[in-house]
Amino acid sequence: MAVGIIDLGIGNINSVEKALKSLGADVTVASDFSALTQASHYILPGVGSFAAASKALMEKGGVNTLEALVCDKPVLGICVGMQLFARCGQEHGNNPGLAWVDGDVTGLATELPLPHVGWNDITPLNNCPLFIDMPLQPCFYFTHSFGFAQVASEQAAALCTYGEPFVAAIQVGRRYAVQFHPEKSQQLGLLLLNNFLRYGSLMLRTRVIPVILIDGFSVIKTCQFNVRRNLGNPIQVVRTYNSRNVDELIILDIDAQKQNRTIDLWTIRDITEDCFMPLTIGGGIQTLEDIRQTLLAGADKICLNTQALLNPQLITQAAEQFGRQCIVVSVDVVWREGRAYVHNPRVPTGQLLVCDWLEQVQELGAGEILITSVACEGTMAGPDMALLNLIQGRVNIPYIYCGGVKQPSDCVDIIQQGAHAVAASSIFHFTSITPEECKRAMSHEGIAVRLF
Amino acid sequence: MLYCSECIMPSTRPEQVFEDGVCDACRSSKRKHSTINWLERRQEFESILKKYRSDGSWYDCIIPVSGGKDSCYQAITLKETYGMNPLCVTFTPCELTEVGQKNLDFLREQGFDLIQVSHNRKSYQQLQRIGFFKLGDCCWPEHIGIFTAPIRVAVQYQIPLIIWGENSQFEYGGPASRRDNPYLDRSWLEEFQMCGYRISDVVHDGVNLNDIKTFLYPCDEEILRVGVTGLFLGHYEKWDTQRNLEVCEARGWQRNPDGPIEGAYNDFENLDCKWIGGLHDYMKFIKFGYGRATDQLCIEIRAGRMTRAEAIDALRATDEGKIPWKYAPDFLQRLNITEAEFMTTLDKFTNKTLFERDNSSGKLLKDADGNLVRKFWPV
Repeated sequence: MAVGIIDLGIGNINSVEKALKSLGADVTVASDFSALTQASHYILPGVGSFAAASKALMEKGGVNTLEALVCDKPVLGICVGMQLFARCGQEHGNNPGLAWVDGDVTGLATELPLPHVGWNDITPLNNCPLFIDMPLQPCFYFTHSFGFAQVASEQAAALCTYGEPFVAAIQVGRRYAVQFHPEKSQQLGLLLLNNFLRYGSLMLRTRVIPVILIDGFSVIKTCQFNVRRNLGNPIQVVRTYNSRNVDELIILDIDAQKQNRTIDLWTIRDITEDCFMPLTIGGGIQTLEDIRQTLLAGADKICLNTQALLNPQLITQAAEQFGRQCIVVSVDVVWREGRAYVHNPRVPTGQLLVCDWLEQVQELGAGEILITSVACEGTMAGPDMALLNLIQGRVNIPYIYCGGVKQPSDCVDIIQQGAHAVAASSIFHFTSITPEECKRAMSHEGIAVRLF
Repeated sequence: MLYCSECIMPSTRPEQVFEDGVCDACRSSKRKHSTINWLERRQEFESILKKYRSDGSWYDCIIPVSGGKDSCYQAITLKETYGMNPLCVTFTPCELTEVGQKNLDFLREQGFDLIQVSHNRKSYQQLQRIGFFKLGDCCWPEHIGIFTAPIRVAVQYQIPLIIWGENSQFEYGGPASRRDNPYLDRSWLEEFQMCGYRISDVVHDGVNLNDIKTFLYPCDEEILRVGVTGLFLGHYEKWDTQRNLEVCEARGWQRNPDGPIEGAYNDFENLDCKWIGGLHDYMKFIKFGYGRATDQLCIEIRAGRMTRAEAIDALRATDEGKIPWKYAPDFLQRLNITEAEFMTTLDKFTNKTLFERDNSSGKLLKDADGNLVRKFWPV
């Protein structure tokens, strides 16, 4: 575990460094952010006043620079480091914070003497992973006069009372903070730091999804949606993935639309009988009734491609009737003269730009997008990074990238380029690489995945 | 469903590629009989063998054998035509038949040393269960053993050259990239023989890898150290099953004593294992809609020994697609399963789009003997 301690130059951070090292972490302390980019976890320590900390942070470029450093990696703010999460702090005048939580730092409202120094019990809230394996009301060492009187209720991770209650810990996604000093709080303090290292990156796991294409009878694999290889029996292939404990499966009947039928629902029923994972089914779906039948047969999500282009309103109607979470729109992309267009052999998409269609699809109510680069599909020659680059930041719903994965590290690149999940097929059909191996490579790079 | 317009292979056969209604095996067959320069290939083979040929004090090549007509021919031809000193290696099938044992003995009578690699039956049964219940292939571990044991022996005995039989992607159909490939290695095994499952997967089924050592492919280092190279004889000389049969039969090799194996057309293939002929081919039939008789008749058509129309008539006269009851009871006993479990599993793997079924319940329709009713025939 590589931990980066962000040194704002306002106090002694030796203790936290030593505490983390005693847990076996590889610790780097630096005030220069560029020396910390390799870390998997960050500590924003704090000894000193809010005003000094805020000033030091702003001098380094403020919230944007810090966010660029930590991205979605876990951060733990300690004491003043926690207070920096505020919109603003009132110690020595009004100073801006990072605004990571909805709350301000004010003097503690209490009749009791300040600062609040010593060991105090806290009450963890909201199942915050920092407090895993701890007693119901663990005791930590505090020394402060300022703090959060309150934050948004879902952001509070623990409360403490010193005359009046105040917020002792917060969690916003992978950003955690504690008002007390875990590095001074004996065994429970070390346990908290250890929990941060172990569970700090807990969050939605990035999926690796095998795609199974069928032609009505058999599993096939295409190359650039053109040359086909027949790989045999769908039940057999699904059972293999089922025992590999994969995250999800996408099954598409690529001849259904052309032959004006839907995917064979008896086959889907057979598959779902002993397949205990989310299943996205597509191929030949033309009406709301087709969707209903497919869901009844056991699909968790349905996938629209051709019909979405022919009748975009179907996306909206389907999302209204069945919930947008189960409507996946599949978009196939070709490049012409440096521009990315939507490709579909059965619909004259002409000059429909991918970005325009993606925007439209989201507005229409799709819950997820499966985006496939036709040039890469089935080639095992590496993903279409230009396409990922093009759509990065333009899609606000989860999107799954598909096409060209040749090695586990490609999955890392795809996710780091903004995709929410990776779909692949040839690599799993034709090589000894399994989805698990891809996820291990991703995990190694700090991407949260679900491992066996 | 699409059938090849030259032979009778359906497009559901895994790895078959169709172009303008003709399967790639028929296209390869045309090249085999016209454009390929076999003399050149044979010279190429000679120049490779020259590098490996020993003075006979130790073996210089391994021939993986089942005791079938093809592998016996390989051994005989490598020794007598090419002057090599082969060591034969056989992987014991799921359950060796009497005629299978006789033909292995025949090979030894012909002057060949034979190493028999036999798995422990306890773990083999576990692998067979995985094959049957998960992959719809009752002989799954057999395919792995056949292509792994010779490599293991090559490494242990330091005999780098392995001569396999025909290149099945060339002879029977497969992706273009593999049709003219002369080599057989681990990636080939994983790509074509393992139904998409990997040996590493069986751990999740509770199998301890230490118990199935005969199935573990030697690591790359070991293979490099010995320089193991696996070549297809069929890449270097024109493969002819009929010739193979004649060469072996003339020396005393035996056909199946009681006629064609269940589901087959001829009586000289897949004789060694109780289930590879009958049940394995039947499971292929329910998954893909064609069985062993179709395979064999396609070979006859491509070799020019039969017309397509004759083959269709001959197919109708075989028992392809009938449940092979002869050795099925032995299989139930080996896996310790009931007939009901057996039938349910078969139904589960049956490709529902290929057989007649009840429109409202989706249930498969069966004839009086419990056999499926096929929807498609070559015409």
